[in-house]
Amino acid sequence: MTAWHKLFTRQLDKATSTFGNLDLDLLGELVSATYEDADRDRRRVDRATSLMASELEELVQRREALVDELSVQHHRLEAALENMSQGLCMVDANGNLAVCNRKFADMLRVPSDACVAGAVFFGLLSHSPVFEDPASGALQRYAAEYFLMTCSNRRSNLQQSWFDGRVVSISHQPLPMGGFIETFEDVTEVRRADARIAHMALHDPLTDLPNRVLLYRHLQEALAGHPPARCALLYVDLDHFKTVNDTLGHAIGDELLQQAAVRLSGQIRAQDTVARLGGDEFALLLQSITGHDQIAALADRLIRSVSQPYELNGHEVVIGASVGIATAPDHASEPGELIRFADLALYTAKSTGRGRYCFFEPEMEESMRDRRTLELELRRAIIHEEFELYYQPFINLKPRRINGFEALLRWRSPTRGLIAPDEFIPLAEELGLIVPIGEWVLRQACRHAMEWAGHIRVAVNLSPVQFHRSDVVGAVRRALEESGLPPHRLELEVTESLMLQNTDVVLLTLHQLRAIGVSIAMDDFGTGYSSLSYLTMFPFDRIKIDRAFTNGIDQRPESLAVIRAVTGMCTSLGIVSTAEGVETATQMGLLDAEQCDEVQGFLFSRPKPKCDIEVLLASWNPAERTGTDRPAEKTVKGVL
Amino acid sequence: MKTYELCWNSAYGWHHSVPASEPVALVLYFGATETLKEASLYARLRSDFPDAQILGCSTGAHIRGLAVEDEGAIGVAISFASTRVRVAATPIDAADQSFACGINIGTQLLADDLAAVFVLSDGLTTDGAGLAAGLSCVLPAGVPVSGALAADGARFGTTLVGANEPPGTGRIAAFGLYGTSVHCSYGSAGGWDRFGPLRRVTASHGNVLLELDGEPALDLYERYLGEEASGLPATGLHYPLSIHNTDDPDAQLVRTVLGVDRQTRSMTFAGSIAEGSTVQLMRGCHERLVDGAALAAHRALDERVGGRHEDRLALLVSCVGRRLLMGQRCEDEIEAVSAVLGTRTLQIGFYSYGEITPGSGPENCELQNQTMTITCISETAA
Repeated sequence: MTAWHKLFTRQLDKATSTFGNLDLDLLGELVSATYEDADRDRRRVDRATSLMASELEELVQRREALVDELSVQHHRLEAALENMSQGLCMVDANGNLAVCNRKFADMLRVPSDACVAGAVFFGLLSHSPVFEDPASGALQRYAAEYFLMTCSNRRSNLQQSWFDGRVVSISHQPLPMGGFIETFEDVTEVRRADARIAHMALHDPLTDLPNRVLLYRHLQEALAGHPPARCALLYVDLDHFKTVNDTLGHAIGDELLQQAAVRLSGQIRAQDTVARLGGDEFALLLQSITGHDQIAALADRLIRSVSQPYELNGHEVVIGASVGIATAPDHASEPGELIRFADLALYTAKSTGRGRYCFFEPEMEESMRDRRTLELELRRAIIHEEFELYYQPFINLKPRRINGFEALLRWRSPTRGLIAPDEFIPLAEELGLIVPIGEWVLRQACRHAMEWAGHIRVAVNLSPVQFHRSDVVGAVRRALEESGLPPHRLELEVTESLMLQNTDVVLLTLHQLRAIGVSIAMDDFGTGYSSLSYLTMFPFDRIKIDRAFTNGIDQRPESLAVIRAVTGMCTSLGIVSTAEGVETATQMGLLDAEQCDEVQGFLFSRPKPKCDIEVLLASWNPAERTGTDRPAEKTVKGVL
Repeated sequence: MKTYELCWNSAYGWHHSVPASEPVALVLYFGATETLKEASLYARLRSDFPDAQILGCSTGAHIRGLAVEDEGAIGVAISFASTRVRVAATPIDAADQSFACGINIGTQLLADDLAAVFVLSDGLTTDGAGLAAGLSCVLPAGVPVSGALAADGARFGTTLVGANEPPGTGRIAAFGLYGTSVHCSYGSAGGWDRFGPLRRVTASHGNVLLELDGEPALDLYERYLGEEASGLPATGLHYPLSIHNTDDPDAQLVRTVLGVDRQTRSMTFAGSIAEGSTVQLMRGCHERLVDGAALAAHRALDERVGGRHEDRLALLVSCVGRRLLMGQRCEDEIEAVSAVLGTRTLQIGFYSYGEITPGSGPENCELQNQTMTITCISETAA
């Protein structure tokens, strides 16, 4: 008998009643249901298998795409790593190298084929001469510091100077999963640049001397001790440097400064400082001085050294030096004060002749204060027009008549009263204030002259500063236009010091002035050393013989001889000669005898205000002006 | 301990051979939902066993001996020599109450000599994993918990649970066994095979699965079920989900479908499925399911400590998914279990919507699906 399937047996049991009757229908249902279950199960399996295959196929494709993407990412990462300027290494939690770039190998001077994933990191480092001296096997002195950082679990940075001079910046970053990543960057050039910048911040670029900032620092350090150290601060100014710079050019000027700097540096000890403050100004800080004589001797050596000729690109140049000196603690113990006193002393050295040294004296400060006060008042005077013009006539000898008046400047200060020109003109020239003052004088004089007779001319003194620092031609033109004065009635007096600088430019200006129609006179003739040569440079209209010759004409034969020569020359050249400072009739007689054309002096009139000039003109009687000798009064000569 | 089988049919009611003098302490009954709705079913039990703790639930089919029956009901009456029995119950309205209910039940049953717990829960409202977690939260370590989620065949309509009252919806009940004489041993195994790719749960909320790999979960099941998709949620039992445990890749945590929502394209499972977890579809093969049942029986047997065979009761809880797959052949697994446990062990049980089994880890219990879970109870002589 066939062994029936267990299920069929069960189905038979179910389809058989307790009485043994077989329900075929029920059996059929049960069997059919079994087949249907099997069919459904098979279809389910087929479907699941097919879907699973599709999903797996899709997964494979996605995985392949991911692999491709990963590959691309890997190549990108590799490219990024290899093109970094820094060396990079990543070490895993077990201390083995996971990733590094070629730069890392290069920087640590290890073969790149030793830097493979899995290499023991510290083993690798032991083969690097950066950390282990290959000759002795000893650790480099900075190795311990690096190893400490590498073993730490904190983010940190380190900068080291390696055995071969490289300066390397190392950053260490622990990773969350263990291990770390480090970057190495060669910052040697950056550090050098930083050092250069730091150096440039404290040094003069032309001479490489310390600059004002560094000098101040050294000064602070020197004076910081208790008690403050004995030291001296010398301010040095190169005399006539500007002339060299202007005439030979800035390239020569720079070379001159460099050579002067070398000479100054050669005079000091190692502990002392030479600094360039700017322009042609230098400073020396002398530490641990012994006394006044030591400093004076050095100052003297400095001046002589700087004054020696310089060979500059085929030019031989000679300059001088003025030195101002302040010492600590005698003069001051505070850096700012010491600097100020050295500067004051230098000013004094320059204003008292240059080419010399001066020690600071307390009076200089007061003198500087006075100067500053005068400066303020002078500036105010310009704004408030506190100036006045006085006039002194120059007399034509044959026939006797007033040819014109020389305009002489006075300053009526509300606080100081009437101030003579020699008390403020030098300061005005130094500050450049002579330019606006001079323009005011020109306008006033031209305006005043318009009120006089048509044959009367007015003479105005021009300062060299006006020639070199302003448009003097324009100022003259404006004064003539505003006043309406005919140009031939205006005479401009210049001294020969005008011709010392920028001679070509000056001559051009003189010709331009001439072209306007004004006349040009040379004042104080005979006092300089090139008076005659200047006469050949420009056709002056008039020469004013300096009072020094007039004063001695009746006592010194030399004076008479000079006057004779000058008047004779003027006659030959067609130049009007005027003698200044005539105070006695004897002087006048001699000058007349020597064919002098014009005279000017107290004998005829002191300088008078404008209102008195009208009276003078109205009452002019030539015969009354030849009287007895009168004692000479000091002439106050104004410029412009 | 003595056990007596009870059989119910509509015509004759309960049929049993329990002597009137037997001090029955515990009665368990399982049957079809419609059968349990009959008022006389519980009434007769209460009448026959006035002093017993009576617990029961609706099933997907019940197991009596070697047979699986869809109609009627079966039960077992148990008397103990010295073991005490206590019952606990709590209502449940929504799945998110499951954890609190577990705590409640566990708290009610707590005692120093609590030896084991068996829980029966509403099969459609409860989050079995939450219930298991709540019980584990309260019960001392070393107190095993087993049980099941009541079922309603493949209808997924109404499940009933009763504890000392007629069975009703929205209930969780449990009995505790107390004393040192009682011994429980357990075995649980599935036999389902994982297949296809691993999938990531990209959206879920508790035991409601919304998305797998960014695709609505229901879309995936409909695709795999094809023409059978119209039978969801029942046909969904063919493809339970295995939840991947990254710490123990070989461990199996299985979840089975209880319901679907075609509006939200979501599926409700018997236990929670955490968002971000990795899952894999499973499918069953008859032979391996039968082997799984045998394995469960071996496991229950191996853990057995002491006792005499004739006093052993084996409560078999299998899963409706296995019933559905194996169809008329599901008795093969019952026979496989019986072959291991022996014919002198009283086997009784049912097909559930989820099995609660003692945990493999530190927890007292965990929810499983698609398994044959066996609880063997015996009592040593005093």
